Amino acid sequence: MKNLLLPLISIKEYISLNHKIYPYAMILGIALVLVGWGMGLFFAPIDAVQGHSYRIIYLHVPMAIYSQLIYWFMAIWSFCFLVWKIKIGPYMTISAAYVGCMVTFLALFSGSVWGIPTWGTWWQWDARITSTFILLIMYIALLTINSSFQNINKADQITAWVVLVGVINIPIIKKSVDWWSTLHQPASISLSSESSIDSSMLIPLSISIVGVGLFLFALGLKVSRLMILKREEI
Amino acid sequence: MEKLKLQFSSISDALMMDGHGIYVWIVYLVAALILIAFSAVTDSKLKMAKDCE
Repeated sequence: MKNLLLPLISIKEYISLNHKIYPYAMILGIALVLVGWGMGLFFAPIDAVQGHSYRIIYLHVPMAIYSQLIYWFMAIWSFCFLVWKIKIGPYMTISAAYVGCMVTFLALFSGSVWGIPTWGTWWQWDARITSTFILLIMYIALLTINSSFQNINKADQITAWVVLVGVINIPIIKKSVDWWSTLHQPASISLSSESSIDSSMLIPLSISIVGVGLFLFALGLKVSRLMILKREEI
Repeated sequence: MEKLKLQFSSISDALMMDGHGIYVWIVYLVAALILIAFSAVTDSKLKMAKDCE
């Protein structure tokens, strides 16, 4: 058990593990993304209502899912840092914030473009879009806060507190389509109940979700390595 | 389950997507560019940080 936890406590062990995992995550991630997007763009059947524009789903849904999951990841590491002073916590939080910021932007961008042929507008201040926009602002604010203090320790502590306060937005994003009447439809895929999407569309979507996840994980590993190199002498 | 089969008869069909191609391809192109740029910039910064050591 101690060996398993060592990379989470020792920066040297983490870097060694990071180097080992990175190539596998990156190669597998890219391969699955290419397969998932290729199937979704060329082989999945056309949607009866939206036509071919629905094919944006294979990019939009993974990005939207990870924009929220990455924030949960940051919140867990921030909590660990504040409670147990785990040294690696701030590195995980900030490197995830860089990836999360990019992913949230891509979720909003792909959703906006999808909205043009589907809803006739690229932007609407509805609950889902607004709460996701707030998430993007949160990511930008966290990165700005963390880089604006000369005292690194203080910056990490304040960032961790802000991450924990901001976590309230995540369930709001998730539940926004149920709580308010929005342009967004309720979730088509669910882990707890049967999905309302046909399996010929669901299979490429699932592959895309796993592939994008692995690719983003690999990016996060790379960013965290850079942050550690910048701050620490290993 | 509907069978997965190639939905387009030609490359221009796949590019046009009945008029929706512009939206679909812009999204994928911009996303790929951003993801590749993010990865490349991190790589070059990592290289610089290693060189400075």
